[in-house]
Amino acid sequence: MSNFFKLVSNELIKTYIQKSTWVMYIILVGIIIGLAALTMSFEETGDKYDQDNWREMLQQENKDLQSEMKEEEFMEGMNTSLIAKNNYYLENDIQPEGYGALQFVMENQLLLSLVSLLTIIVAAGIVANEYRWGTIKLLLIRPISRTKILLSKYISVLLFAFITLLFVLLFSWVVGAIFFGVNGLNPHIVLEKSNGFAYVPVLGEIASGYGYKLINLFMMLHLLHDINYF
Amino acid sequence: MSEAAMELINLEKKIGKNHIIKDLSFTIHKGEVFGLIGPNGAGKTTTIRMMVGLMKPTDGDIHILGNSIKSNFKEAIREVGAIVENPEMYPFMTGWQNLMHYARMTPGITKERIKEVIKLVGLEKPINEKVKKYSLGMRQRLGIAQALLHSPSILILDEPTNGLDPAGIREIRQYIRNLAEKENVAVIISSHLLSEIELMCDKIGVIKNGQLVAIQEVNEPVETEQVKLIEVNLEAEPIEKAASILRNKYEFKPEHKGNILSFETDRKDVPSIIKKLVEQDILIYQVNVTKTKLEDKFFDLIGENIIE
Ligand SMILES: Nc1ncnc2c1ncn2[C@@H]1O[C@H](COP(=O)(O)OP(=O)(O)OP(=O)(O)O)[C@@H](O)[C@H]1O
Ligand SMILES: [Mg+2]
Repeated sequence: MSNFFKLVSNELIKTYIQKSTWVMYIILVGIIIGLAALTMSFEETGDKYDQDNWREMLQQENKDLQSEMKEEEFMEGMNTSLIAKNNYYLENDIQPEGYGALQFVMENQLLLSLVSLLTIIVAAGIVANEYRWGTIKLLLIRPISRTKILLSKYISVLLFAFITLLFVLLFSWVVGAIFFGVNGLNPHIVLEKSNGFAYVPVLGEIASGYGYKLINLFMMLHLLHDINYF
Repeated sequence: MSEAAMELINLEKKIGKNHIIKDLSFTIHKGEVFGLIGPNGAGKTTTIRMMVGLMKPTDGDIHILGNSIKSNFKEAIREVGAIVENPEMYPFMTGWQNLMHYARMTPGITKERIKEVIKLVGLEKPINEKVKKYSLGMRQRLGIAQALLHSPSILILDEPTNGLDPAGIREIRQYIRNLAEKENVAVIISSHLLSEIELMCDKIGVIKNGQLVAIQEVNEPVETEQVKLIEVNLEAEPIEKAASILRNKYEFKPEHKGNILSFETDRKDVPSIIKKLVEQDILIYQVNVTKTKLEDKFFDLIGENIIE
């Protein structure tokens, strides 16, 4: 068992020593900081609803959205759903919470498609590169079966996917905290779900969103693994 | 005779229509350095690939300390350290990181052992440099270090002298001799240059077109007609007179090499020839003889290597 663990750590070490892996992470860092800057400048993320007049503010916002809709027809779809969301806050008498690090983390779920892409790149190279470098010969002349070596590579790709996803999550939180501040330990938010609007905890959304993406990623890798190696 | 380390038993390899290895059988004993010599395309690398399990024999088998490479691969390969073809390592890692990588694949290799092999191959200085910066000779040394990590009973090196300077070859020769004599390791070295490994081998197998055409102990006297002849180099004056005596009385065809006459003869005839020359008032300044080299015998054996 410890032997197998060493094989997996060998694979991870090889992956993370390579410059191309570092480039991937630098791209992710750039995108996350860029997204935070964009969110900062294009969305009103201040704590504008934290006064007692938040109801009037929401109503005023709805009026503005409606008049905008009349002038620009293409805004209709987006604005109607924003108005519906604002109405949900008003009808249920929920005071909207300000935008914070956790909301930013939640929105960055989108980046997980990029994580899938990076994982595919790593998975595609992990066997092929050994042939390219000629090092496959030195791997196969050890008292370790071919299957075990391939399995260790497969597990290391899974770990790469998991580590990268964790990186996106944590780094988004740090960048979010710097840009938008930490807004409570367990903020809630109104989201449009399949059965209409719901008032949900952001943490729950993060857990289910990232969890779902991770499972997706693993299933995709499993298919790749089947196609590649056997 | 000491214990067999590796046995090749009627080894055959066919790839498609090509019959690459034909009924190869020989044994390498513990503590013996075995040179596998043959021209390009003779089948040295193919044989070595089968020895380390990178290629399956079409027929026949290889036994390593009694374990079949076919049916008992793990037990067999555990005793083997090898470089196959070029010493390829991970270019983006340092020498040390590469060795650590292979050390993790076999249980029980300590950091001390790693340092020991680094010292043995003389890579202490560049060990923390990335392998992509290494010269071919440095990679060759790192390859040997990698092969020695787990203290194998059999060391297989495909063209280890490739890319090494004369000093490097001399060093390798020394520690290969050392491994064989002190640690009883069986060493198999392939090369197409006999001169480079002649001095470090106990036994040489000559392979041509996938067949073993000769096998011979390096120090055993050679029995064939041709090799009984020795080359005599003679410095004499007057040189023309000496040459004509050799030509007329003995039917030699002496060659002029500056002021030296060179001809081939049977060793036992040398004293009488010199006596004859002296009787004819020829001054002899020096005489030396060289054994007809193994190299020449090798070329006689090989002839032209034709891939069928
Ligand atoms: N995968 C293969 N498929 C078909 N033929 C092959 C294959 N590998 C080697 N050969 C053939 O087998 C023969 C022996 O090749 P091998 O590489 O063993 O020679 P070698 O003695 O190592 O030569 P060199 O001194 O050039 O390294 C060659 O004729 C080669 O063309
Ligand atoms: Mg070769």
